[in-house]
Amino acid sequence: MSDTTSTDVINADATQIATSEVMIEVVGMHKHFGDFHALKNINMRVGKQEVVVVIGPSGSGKSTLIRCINRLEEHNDGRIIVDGVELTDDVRNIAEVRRETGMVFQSFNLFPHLTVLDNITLAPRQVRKMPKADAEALAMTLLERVKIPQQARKFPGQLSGGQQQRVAIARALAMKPKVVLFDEPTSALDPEMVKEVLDTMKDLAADGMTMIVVTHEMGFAREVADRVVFMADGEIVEVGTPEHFFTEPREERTKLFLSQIL
Amino acid sequence: MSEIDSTAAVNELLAQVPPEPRVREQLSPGQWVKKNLFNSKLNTVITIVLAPITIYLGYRFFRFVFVTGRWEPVRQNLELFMVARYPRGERWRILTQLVLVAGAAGIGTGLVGKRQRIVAAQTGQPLPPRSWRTYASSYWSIVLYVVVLLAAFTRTFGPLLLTLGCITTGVVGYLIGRALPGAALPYGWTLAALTGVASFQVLSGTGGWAWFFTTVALVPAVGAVVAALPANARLVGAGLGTAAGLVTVILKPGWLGGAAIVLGAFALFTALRGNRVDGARLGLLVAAGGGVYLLGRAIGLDGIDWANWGGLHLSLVVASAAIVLALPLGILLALGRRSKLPAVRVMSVAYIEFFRGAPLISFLLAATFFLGFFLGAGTTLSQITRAIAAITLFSAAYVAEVVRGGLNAVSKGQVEAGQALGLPASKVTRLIVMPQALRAVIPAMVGQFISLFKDTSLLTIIGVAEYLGARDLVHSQNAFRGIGIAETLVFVAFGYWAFTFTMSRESQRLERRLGVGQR
Amino acid sequence: MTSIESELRPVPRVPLWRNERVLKIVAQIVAVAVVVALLRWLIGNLTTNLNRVGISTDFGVLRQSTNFTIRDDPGFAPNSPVFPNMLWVGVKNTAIASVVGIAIAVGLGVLIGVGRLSSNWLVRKLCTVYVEIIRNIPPLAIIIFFGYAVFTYGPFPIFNPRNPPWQVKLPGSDNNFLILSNDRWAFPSFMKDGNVGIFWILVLVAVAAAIVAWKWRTKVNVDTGAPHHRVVWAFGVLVVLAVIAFLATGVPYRWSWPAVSASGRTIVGGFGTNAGYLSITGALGLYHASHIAEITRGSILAVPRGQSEASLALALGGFQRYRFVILPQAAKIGFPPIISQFLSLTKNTSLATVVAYPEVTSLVTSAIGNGKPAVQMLVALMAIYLLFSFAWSVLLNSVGRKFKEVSR
Repeated sequence: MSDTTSTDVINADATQIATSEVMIEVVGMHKHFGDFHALKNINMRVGKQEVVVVIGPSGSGKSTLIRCINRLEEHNDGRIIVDGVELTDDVRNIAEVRRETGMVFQSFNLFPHLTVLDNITLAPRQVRKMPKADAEALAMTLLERVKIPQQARKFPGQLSGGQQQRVAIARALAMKPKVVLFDEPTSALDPEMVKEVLDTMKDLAADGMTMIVVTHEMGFAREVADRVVFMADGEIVEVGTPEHFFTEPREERTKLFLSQIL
Repeated sequence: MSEIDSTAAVNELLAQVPPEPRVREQLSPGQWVKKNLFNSKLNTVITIVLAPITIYLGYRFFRFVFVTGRWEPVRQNLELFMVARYPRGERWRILTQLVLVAGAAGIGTGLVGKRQRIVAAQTGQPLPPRSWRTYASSYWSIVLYVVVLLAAFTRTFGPLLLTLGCITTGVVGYLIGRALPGAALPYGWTLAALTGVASFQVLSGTGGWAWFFTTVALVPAVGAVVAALPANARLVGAGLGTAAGLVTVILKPGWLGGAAIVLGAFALFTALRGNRVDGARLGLLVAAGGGVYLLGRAIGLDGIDWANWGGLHLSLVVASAAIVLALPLGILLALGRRSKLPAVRVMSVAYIEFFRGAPLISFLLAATFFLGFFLGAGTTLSQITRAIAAITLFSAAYVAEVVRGGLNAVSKGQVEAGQALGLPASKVTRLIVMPQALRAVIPAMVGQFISLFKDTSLLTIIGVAEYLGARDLVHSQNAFRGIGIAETLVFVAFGYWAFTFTMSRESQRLERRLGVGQR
Repeated sequence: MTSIESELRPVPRVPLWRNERVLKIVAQIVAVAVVVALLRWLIGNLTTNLNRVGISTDFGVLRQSTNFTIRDDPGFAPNSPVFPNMLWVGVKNTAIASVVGIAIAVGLGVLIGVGRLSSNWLVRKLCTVYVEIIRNIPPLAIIIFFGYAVFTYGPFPIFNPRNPPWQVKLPGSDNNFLILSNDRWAFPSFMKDGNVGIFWILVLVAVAAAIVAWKWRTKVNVDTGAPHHRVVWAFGVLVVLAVIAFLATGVPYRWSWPAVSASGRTIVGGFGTNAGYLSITGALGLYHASHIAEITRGSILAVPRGQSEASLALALGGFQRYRFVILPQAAKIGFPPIISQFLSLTKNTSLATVVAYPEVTSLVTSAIGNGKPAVQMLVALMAIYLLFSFAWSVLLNSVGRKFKEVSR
């Protein structure tokens, strides 16, 4: 049943993406946690420079979906291909996908024993073998981009939540990824700090980064998303542009969800 | 031995309790007595019963210590308690060792203070205020012990001079450490480590495995040197390593030479592949290792014959050596226990549960009776070597549990963040998880050292005359047979208590500081 | 098949040397192989060298005689020199010393731990001094103190035929209530003097009646809200019925008073113990009490302060606050460290070699001293302690699980 639904949904989607412009391709993906079928027959395409926002009730599998894309969780069935590299048991592929995707976590996960600057330069120096001076210059540029260059030598514990999350975004960008995945980036923030992080994300989108954002911030979805994906009970229920999605949802479950949150 | 678990658990619990604010009420003596001793019917009864008993016991105790106690066995045999029958002619080794240890400790403390100041300046966070009272509350027991020793039990000026010498060296070391500029800190660490290693080699000699530990001590300095070199010079550094490896394998063929040439070649290979920094580091270390080895052979200091060693000195050295050796093994076991590979996990669990399940004495007995048989035919081992081997293997299991607690405390999100950045698993563990885990378990590690130190008392049972066992040496003399049994015991217990009390206070203090600090 | 799938390349085969699953399996095989090789080398050396020196390496030797007997064994097993019996006696002695030591440690430790939190300054200071001193000395030192400074060279009279020990007599009779010497102490005990079977059956009946009383009082409390006093009721019923049973069956037990034997070398009657047993249980009890005191104190302090405040807000009195809110939570927190103290105490009984108490380690040491091969003896010894550890962990896990269920 859901097989045809999601295919129809995608085929009925307004934006058709040519194969050469595909960044992420998910085909027939399933994920089980023991007996629990967390993700059911996910089919999804994300184009280059596209901003896709994934929304849905808790437990719908949104986080699991993006965690499968950078292999923090292993999918059980189906295929996931990121910029032409397929996620299989091949350790080289897995490493490459992780290098090319960045992730921003709900609980920031900054390394508390390193300064902000060291947090950002760690991966470029260790993985891309960048020399220390170049890495630090890159880090300062990124810190300016997220508007907190003066915090470079502080420790994460000294920063506010909003500042920490912006450092986390800079840290992800330091690896020059092709896609950045956001797992509910503002859910753990106090309300007054949500705006500064969302503004950073809007700038990032405007600069042309491919982004998949799992969030509850509907304002962000409306303003910035190219497409909105609604998930419930482990499957993709509806996909559409923000205009069509928020004003004329098709599916019953979508309407129910929107009525509860809007 | 699992009192570690309890002490660590208790310390953890107590560290979360916010300290009571010191309410300095001005109570008159009468008010104070009423409030603290007679504030309820039950308390009144208890006070009335206990106070006379306490006073009486206190009186008897002081009478024992100052009047009726027969302290001659201690006074006449202080040497036996400190170093047992260590040959007179070699005593200079112990003196040098103590002075060097004081120096190393001083430099280390100075460096830690310096680093804290640098970090504070950089992050803008002020340092927590530290008064002499905090240190006094931990260290007063050792000071008391030394003062009592010097005042009551020594018969010459030697020990006093030694104490003054150690204090001087310690203070000088501290000043050096504090005065170093930030860029020179790695050299400072190497200096401290070399002093520490030298202090041990004064006892064990410069042959054998001494070169290995000296080379390990050089790691920070080599790292700083390499960081300062231009790129081409680094290539030369890597090449030096290969050359050194080549020379070693020619001079000393065998697996040591083989390892040297392999490492040297690997250093050059790494540098040529583009990683000049790592290649230079490895190469220079191999070259340094070779140099140190030759230097050690040239100095040619022999180790002492351990057969007659004993006393408090032995207890301290054995405990220190065992914890240093048990640490890497324990970390490996802890990582193995958390591994996702079932075979590795099962083997780690088997080791840990085996060594935690049986008492230390059984392992000491096993080591005494048949450790030598496990190795090649005809190897002879001194009793002390066997003891260190048994204690190390035994402690590694406990260290593993302590480290495992620390590893569990690092949240899973840290590992995921590292993975999401593309870091390979080994780097995630080494750079992200381990630093956080190890810093979190420092207090528990101190508790482990306390237990180890107390467990050295078991060496008496296998015939090593450590601090507690030195009593047997004393009381086997005709002059002191059956005399002063309780007095010598009290003296020994006082010594253990002095050191252990300080260590447990320090570990509590560290727990409070580290726990509340950086979260 | 969707249109998307038809555009994709077929799944490439992952080369084995980069395959994540294969690598994991290979890593484990290598790890196991290395460890097995190491063990084989070590054990191979061991057997070769032992055979070279002429020491036997098979385990049949465990069935042979050990050429010595145990003095003062508690009489549970025939005092035969055959090794398995020897081990059995040792195990029993270890168990007895552990249980008694644990009882002392828990009783004293909880008391002192609570005392450290007392509002009485004198009590607090005394308890703190006790803990901070005893906790920091090696248990072996305390054992030696008891064994030598208190007993062998201590104030008690030497126990030999020429020297009468201290005998504390019951007032108005010639029977000894206590016998104290530097090697043996004796206490009064019971002796069978009639038909005990019926008595114990009646006691079982009394226990059943006590349980009924307990349940009845609980029901009364639930139905009417009156205080149940069920402990007093149940205990009272049990004691009254047991006394009646005792008298009704013709007083089937009587006192057995200890006395010095005619030869002056031993004690007859009563319950006699030797200095070794007293040293080890007393010393370990005192030592581990200091640790349990710290655990108790830490557990009580770790109960969040909000719990006290909430109880006060609910108008619970001091005693009720402790009994219903604080102590249950403290017990849950302190439970695992206290069980590991029990395990630690059991292992520390191995130190009784220095006071000649025949627990399992000292017996094995004596056996080795008498020429038995060390490897088999020590393997058996370690196995015994591993069994003890296993028993304690099973206890910890099963009771700990019940605690966890309650909390969720």
